[in-house]
Amino acid sequence: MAEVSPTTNRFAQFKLVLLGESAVGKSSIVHRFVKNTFDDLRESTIGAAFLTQTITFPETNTTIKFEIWDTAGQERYKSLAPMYYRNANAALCVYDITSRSSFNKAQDWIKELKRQAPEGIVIALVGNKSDLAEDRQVEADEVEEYIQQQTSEEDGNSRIITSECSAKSGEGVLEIFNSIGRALPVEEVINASSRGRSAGGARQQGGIDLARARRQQAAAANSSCC
Amino acid sequence: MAYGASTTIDQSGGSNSKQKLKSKRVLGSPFKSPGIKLTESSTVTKDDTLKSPTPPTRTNTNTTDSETSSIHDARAVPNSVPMETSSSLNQTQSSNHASSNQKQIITCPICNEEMVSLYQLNQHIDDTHSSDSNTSAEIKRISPKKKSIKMDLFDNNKGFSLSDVSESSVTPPPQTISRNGNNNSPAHHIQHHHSGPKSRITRSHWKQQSTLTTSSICSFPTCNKTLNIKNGITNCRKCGLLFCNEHSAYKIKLIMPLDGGNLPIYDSTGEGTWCKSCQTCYYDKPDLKQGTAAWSRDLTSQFKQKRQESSDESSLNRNKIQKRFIKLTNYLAESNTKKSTQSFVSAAVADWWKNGTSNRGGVSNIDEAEKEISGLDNWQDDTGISNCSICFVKFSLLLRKHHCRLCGKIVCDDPYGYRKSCSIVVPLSNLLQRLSNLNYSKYVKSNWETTLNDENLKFRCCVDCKNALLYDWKLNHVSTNSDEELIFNTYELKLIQKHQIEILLQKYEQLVRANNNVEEEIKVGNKLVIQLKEFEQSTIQFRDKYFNVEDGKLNVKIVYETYKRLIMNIHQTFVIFLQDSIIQYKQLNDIHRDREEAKLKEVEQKKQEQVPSLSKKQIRELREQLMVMNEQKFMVESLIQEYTKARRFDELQALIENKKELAEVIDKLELQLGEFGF
Repeated sequence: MAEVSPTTNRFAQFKLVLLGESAVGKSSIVHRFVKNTFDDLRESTIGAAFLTQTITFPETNTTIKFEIWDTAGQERYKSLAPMYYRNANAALCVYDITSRSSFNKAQDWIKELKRQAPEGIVIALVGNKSDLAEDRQVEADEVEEYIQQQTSEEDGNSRIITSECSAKSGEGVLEIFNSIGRALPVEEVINASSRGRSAGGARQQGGIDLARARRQQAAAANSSCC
Repeated sequence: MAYGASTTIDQSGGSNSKQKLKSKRVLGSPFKSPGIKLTESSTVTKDDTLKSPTPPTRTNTNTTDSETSSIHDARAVPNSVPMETSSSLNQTQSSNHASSNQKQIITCPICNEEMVSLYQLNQHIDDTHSSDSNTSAEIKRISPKKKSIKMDLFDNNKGFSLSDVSESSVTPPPQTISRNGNNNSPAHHIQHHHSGPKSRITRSHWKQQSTLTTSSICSFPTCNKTLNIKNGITNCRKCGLLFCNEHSAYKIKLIMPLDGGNLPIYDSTGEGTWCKSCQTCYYDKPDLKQGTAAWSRDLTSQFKQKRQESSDESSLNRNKIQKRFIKLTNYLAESNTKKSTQSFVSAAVADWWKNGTSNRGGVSNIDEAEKEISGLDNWQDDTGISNCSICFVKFSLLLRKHHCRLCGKIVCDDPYGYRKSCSIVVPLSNLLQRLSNLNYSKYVKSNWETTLNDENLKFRCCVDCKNALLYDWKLNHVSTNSDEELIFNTYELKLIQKHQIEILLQKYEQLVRANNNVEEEIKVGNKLVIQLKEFEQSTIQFRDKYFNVEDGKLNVKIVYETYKRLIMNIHQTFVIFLQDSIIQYKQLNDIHRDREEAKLKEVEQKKQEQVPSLSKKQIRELREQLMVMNEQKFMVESLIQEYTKARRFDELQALIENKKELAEVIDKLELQLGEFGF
C-alpha cells in the first residue's frame, strides 16, 4: 500500500455489499463501476464475488477504496448475505425497474439491513436497467413515496440514497458510488486509521467508531491506485 | 495277490472249463482277475492291473476267513445248475468285450460296479464294502447255487435290475443308471444284495436332475445350494429328492415293503440295506423319533431286576425272622407259664433265664429248643469266632459272646449303644405290642394279656433282627407321622425364604436411601421381587393344601384337624410377613421409581437441549447453508491465491478475514447439525 502522508492525501477503505433479487444486474453494476465493461450474457454469480475499486474526491483530496462484495441473488445463497452486510459500511439494494417483485425484494433487504446491519450503514436503493424505461414497472414516485415513509419511521436519522442507473449504458453508475462515498463517514475513518497507525501500526479496516470520532485535518494528495 | 493265487490253484483242479468260468464269476467280483488270467487275453490283464490296487483293502478287512470260504465256494461250483453257466459265459464275454473296448474301465471287485477313477473306486469300497463287514461275510456264506438262481431272475427282469443299482454310486445318478443299463452284468448285484429281490431299494422314485442349464438346488428347506459336482448331487434313497453333500451325508437302513409297494421303507427287521439318505429322512427314522434309543442304553429294567432280587431277599429274610420270632414267642410264653403255674423249673428255662438276665452266656446254658428256632445250622459255633459279627469288636473276658435268638449269630452285648447296639435283651412285651397281628399260637393268643404283661419274658436279639422284625411296623409308623413332618418341612423352607427376603429388604432399603449405586439398586430390587413372588406362591400353595375356603373363611381341612393350630399359626405368620414386606418394598420402590423418572426427565430435557429437535426441513436448510458456506470458502481461497499471485496484498487482507469468518460460520453450522452433518 502506498504510504501516503496524511497531509498530502487522505485515504479510506470501505466495505460495500450489493443485495437484491437475482438477475437485477448487481454484478453488471459492479463490473461497470470496476471495469467499465458490460456483458450481455453474464452468468449468475456464485456465492459472493469480491472486487475493489477506488474513487477520488479532488475537492477534499480524499481517496476512497471500495471493497465490494457482490452477493448472488439466488435464494440458495441467501444465507451468505448476512455475513457480508454484517460489517459493511454501505449496502446497495438493487432492483430492476422492469420488475415489481425485485423492488419488493429490495425493500425486504432494506428492512433486513435496518434490523441486522450495523448502525450508520449507508443504504442505497438503486433501480437498474433504466435503459428499459418503456417496460418500467416501478415508477420514481413510488420509490420516493417509499423513501418518505421510511425516513418518517426512522426519525429522519438515516437517509436512503435512491437512484436509477443502467449498467448497460453506464448511465448513473458512477454517480451512485460517488454519492455513497460522500455519505460515508470518511473523516472519522481517516482519523481512526491514522490513530491506529500511530498506535500499533496496523491498518484499520473500514470500521466506524462514532464515539471516537475526531476531526483531523489532512493535506491533500494524489490517490494511490491499485 | 497271494489271495487270488490260492483260488486259481483250486480252480485249476477243476476239469471243466465252463466250471472254471463259472467259479470265476461266482467268486466274482472279488476274485475275478485270476480267472480271467487263466482264460483270456492280454487285454484283460491290463484290466487286471488297473484293478490290482483295490484288492488289498479287501484282504485287509477279512483275510483268512474269506479266503477259506472262497475256496469252499470254488469247490461247490461243480454242483451248480448247467443252465446258469451259459449265462455266466455270456457275461464274461460281454464284460471282456467291454474291457477291450474301453481299457480304462474300472470295476469294483466286490460288486462289479463300474468306476470312473481309481480314487472313486477306493472311496466306493470304503463307503459300501468296508463299513458293514457283516454283509460281506454273509455274501461268502451264501452258496453259489442260490446266487445263480437270483441271477436268472435278474436276466429275466432287466428293467428291474437297472433301476436297482446299489447305493454306492457317487456321480450323478441318472448317468450311472444308463451306463449300467448298457453294458452291465446284473450278476454283480447278487453279491451285494444278499437278501431277496424285494429288499432291493428301487430307484424308480428318484427325482431326476434337471437339465444342466437350469441348475437345481438342494431340496433341504433351508439349503439353497446349487447342485453341482462341487456341492454334490445325491438322491435320498428314501424320498428320492436331490440333495447336496451336506444334507445327504446320512445313512439309514432301508428295505422294500413286503406288500409290494414301490417306495422303500425304514427297516425294522435288520435285513435292510444301508443307504444314503437326506437329513429329513434320517431324523424321521422311527427309532430316532422315539427318543434317544439309538444313543443310550436303558438300564432301568436291569436295575429293577437287581433291585427286585435284593428286595425279595430282604423280604424273605424278614419273613424268616418273623417266623422265628413267632416260634420263640410261642415257646417262651408256653415255657414261662409252665414254669410259673406248675412250679416246674426246667433246666432249659433256667438256663435261658440266666442267659437272658446275666452276661454269663455259654453254650451249655442255652436251650436246645432255642437253638432249633434259629435253626441248628444257623446257630454259630463259639469256636473260631473272635469278633462280633456286627461291630467287629474283639471278644474278651469282659466282653462276652452272645447268640441272637433269632438269627443265631454271635454278637456282643451293647445295651447302651456304645458300639452299634449290636444286641440287647428285648422284653417280649415291647415287640408283642407292636407286632400284635402275627400268627401266634393259640395259647399265646388266648393268654395275650398275661404274656404281654409278663416282664420275665425277654430274649436276646441282634439289631439286624430287630430291624427286620419291626420293618413293616416302622413303615406304617413313619407314614402316620408324614403329615406333621411335611408341615414342618414346608415351614422350614418358608423360614429360609423369609430370611432371604428380610436380608434383601434390608439391603434394598440401604441402597435406596444411599442412592449412589443405581445398578445394584435395580438388581437387588428385581431379586427381591422374585423372592416375594416365590414366597407368595408358596403361601398360596400352603393355603390350598391345608385349608378349605368356606364363606370366605379359611378352615383347616378335616384331614389335618390334628395340626389345626399349628397350620393356622404358620399360615398367619407368613401371610402377615408377606403383607408387611410387600408394603415395605412398595414404599421403597416408589422412592426408587420417582427418582428414576426424574432422571429420565432430566435426560430427555438434556437431549432436547442438545438437539433442538432438528426437523427434516431444518436439517435440509442447514445442510444447504453449510454447502453454500463451503462453496464460498473455496471461492475465497481461490481468490486469495489469485490475489497473492497478482501481488494485490491490499485486498488480500479483506479476503483472509472473510475466510476466517466463513470458517467460523461453517464450524457453527456443523456444530448445529451435529450427527446430521456430512
